[in-house]
Amino acid sequence: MPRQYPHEVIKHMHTFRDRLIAWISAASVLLITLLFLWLVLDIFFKGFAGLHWSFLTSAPLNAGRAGGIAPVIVSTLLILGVCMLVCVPAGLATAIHLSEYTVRNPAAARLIRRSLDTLAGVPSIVFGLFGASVFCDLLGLGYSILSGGLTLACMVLPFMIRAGEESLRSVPQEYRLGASALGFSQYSVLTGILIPVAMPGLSIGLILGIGRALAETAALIFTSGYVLRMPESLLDSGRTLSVHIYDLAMNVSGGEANGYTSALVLIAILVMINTGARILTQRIVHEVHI
Amino acid sequence: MSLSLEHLQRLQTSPPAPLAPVMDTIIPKSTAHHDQSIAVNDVAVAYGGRTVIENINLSIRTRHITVLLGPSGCGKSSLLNCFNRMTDLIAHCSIRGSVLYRGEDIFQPDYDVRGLRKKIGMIFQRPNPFPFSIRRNIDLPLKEHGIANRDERRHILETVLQSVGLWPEVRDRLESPALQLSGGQQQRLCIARALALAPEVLLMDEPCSALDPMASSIIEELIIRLRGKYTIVLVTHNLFQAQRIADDVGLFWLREGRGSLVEFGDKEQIFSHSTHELTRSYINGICG
Repeated sequence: MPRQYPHEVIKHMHTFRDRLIAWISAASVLLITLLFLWLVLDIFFKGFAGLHWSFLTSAPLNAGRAGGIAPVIVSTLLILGVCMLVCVPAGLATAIHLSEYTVRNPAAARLIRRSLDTLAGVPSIVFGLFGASVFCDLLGLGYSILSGGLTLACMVLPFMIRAGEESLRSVPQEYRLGASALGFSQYSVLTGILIPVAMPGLSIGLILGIGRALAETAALIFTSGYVLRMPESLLDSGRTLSVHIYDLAMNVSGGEANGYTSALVLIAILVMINTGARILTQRIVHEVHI
Repeated sequence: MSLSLEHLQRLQTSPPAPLAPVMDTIIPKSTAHHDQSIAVNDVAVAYGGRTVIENINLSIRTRHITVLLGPSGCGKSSLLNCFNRMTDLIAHCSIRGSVLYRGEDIFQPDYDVRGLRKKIGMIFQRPNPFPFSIRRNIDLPLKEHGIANRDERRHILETVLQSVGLWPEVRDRLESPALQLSGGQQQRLCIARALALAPEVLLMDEPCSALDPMASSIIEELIIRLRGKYTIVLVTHNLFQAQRIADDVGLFWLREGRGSLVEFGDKEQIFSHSTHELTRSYINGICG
């Protein structure tokens, strides 16, 4: 026979559990915030001293120990640009297909989803080797910004497709039915209803994808190389900020100070791009009221 | 001609053939071809091989209110979804038989479905305005069907909001979110949105069942006001609602997991002079 606890004990137990949950969640928030603050402040204090206008506009000297990071910033933005140029249309199209056109063939959709999830979990170094053999060798693009951007696109795509698909699927079915019953074409349902309504989720996917691409080093060392020159075309080799920071920290003695400043610039670029993406999507969705 | 319950059970286990002549006799006599909007001939709907409704024969009179009545789950909505081919959107849904709209089979392969849905509007059980402004809810479908002139759209917006009685309530806040309206207002907006396309037929799938009694009675009054202007086909399980608003009634029932049409006729015949035992039991509250 189960033991019966008196009412007071049960009440006490419940109060204790409720408080415990609240404490644990508050403590984790505090811990994570502190860690994040520590990281940002550390980079800020160690990197801010080196941050001058000339640092952003001049070429590096002495393997990056001195001088600035102008070519690195340009390469970073170019590689990110190539990556996004491929990722956004291809990712959105695939997400639309998975969420809207696979209703009659759920087995195929499941297979694609599982493959994408697996791909999203593959270590970036593997993508780097794949990019080196396919883009650099097989397609003859060599160590170049184009190879690096395309490799990054392969890496980020699965992630962005899944994020996009989830946000499209979270649009209530009744909007699709309502629009179809009004004689909307599939194209109009998509562009008039689904994409605007899913836009907040789509933009989060985009922002996280940009973050992943900007943070990547391993996949790029093999594909876009780490030449410090100012790139003259997409077929030139170029070094991204992350690769530059990695190099200064690991291979260049006396490069830490500039490494910290570069890290600060990277964070600033990330914040700027994210803010820009958010403002842009807000413009698009300002008429959606959920 | 009468059908006993026992007889009906036999009919459902045996081939559908004997049921057809019975149906012919109970279709309202006034249904000459010219005032018949939708004709349903021997329709069966199946989802992935599972038949949910079969042997449906009925005829919807132009500019009358036809109520499809019966307990939940007996295929009324499935039938309603055939009339504007919303069944196309349901995976593995197959239709047998034919549905004629103005004498043309709407399930022909090259039938203009978008045009059909413009002519046959649909109101859903749960109000489903788009999460945009009130104005954009009406504007979007108008733009979709090629009305590019802004003044014309504004005129239609006012007209349809007037006709559902929403204009005085929202005239000052056309740019505010439609989802901020109350449930009843949202449903009236959805009706206005359908009316904006100047349809001939309105399909209503339990339009009041997600609303409170007050909102529900406003919608009902609106439907009665629309009688004579539009052909309305309304699905409900609310017997009293059917008695209040119907011109014609089709009573559906579930037998061995399949929906079927028990009796179809004008309101008078179904509610006062039905010789059908099941209909009488349902109307008198003995079953259902």
